[in-house]
Amino acid sequence: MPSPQSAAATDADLIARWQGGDESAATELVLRHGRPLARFLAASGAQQADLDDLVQDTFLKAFRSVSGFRGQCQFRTWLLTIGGNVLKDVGRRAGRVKVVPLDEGLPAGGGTPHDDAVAAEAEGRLGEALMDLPRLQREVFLLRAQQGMEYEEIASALDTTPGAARVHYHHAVKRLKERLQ
Amino acid sequence: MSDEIRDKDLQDAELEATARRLGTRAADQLDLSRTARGVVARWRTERARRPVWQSPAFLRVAAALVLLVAGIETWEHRHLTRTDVVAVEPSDAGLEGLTADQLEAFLPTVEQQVPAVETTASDAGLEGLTSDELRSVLNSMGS
Repeated sequence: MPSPQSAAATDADLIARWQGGDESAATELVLRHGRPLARFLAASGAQQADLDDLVQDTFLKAFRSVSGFRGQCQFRTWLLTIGGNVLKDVGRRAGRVKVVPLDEGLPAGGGTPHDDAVAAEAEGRLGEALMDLPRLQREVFLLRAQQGMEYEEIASALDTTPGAARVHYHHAVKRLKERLQ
Repeated sequence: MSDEIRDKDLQDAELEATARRLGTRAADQLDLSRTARGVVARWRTERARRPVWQSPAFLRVAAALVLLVAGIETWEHRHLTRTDVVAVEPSDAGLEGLTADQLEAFLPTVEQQVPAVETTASDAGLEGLTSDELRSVLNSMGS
């Protein structure tokens, strides 16, 4: 459980502490950002069995190149884009990224069995539809709709403009709706 | 608001709500403490395996040294070139202001000019004279 002092620490503080050799800062960064990263990876096509390795690979890659992080966007946004690259590399090595069976072998949510089944089916269909989108559109859609980020933030992370990010998002929504109807 | 726009907004809202839930249950399966321990352990191993010359600190020092050496070389090259130019220039500015080194550099050029002066002396018209005329000239020089 994080101490009160570390709970108040910003990501920049934790990165600085970690670079100074404080391993507990690295642990706290993983605890703070690991789950949103895992959600992003799972929605991007990562399989449940690979999720732990992918999250670890993403953090290690981020730690290796953290000196290149200049605060152009939030640490989490930067981490998610690295996660996207890690997943792409794994997919390239494996031949392709398999679609996660989101509704398979996972415990139900908090609703009735019927609600859970309907929600799981919708998520499964959306997950499949997302795999048919170009990577940039998929990432913009997930950063916006799943992670709740602003276009400016998304644009900084993906090295594009907010206007272009907005266009990618609307194209993604249009194509997803067509697929899901 | 028309029904069409309301339907569109509803579809967008449903889509975004589904997107927000996407991957949640898979991510909830993760034991993040274990993941964090794995990250730290792998980082330690990676750092232990990395040769010293690949460490960021070493690379920074090496880059600084390269820049320093290059800077010194450039400065020396410019400085020496300027000295050479000064050594050649004073030939028509009088010899009084020259240092010993500059004078030494200047002397060989003076020595090279001496034979040229002697050669012009031989052009005084003696080669066109007959042997008798030469003899009379020698006699007059000897007298």
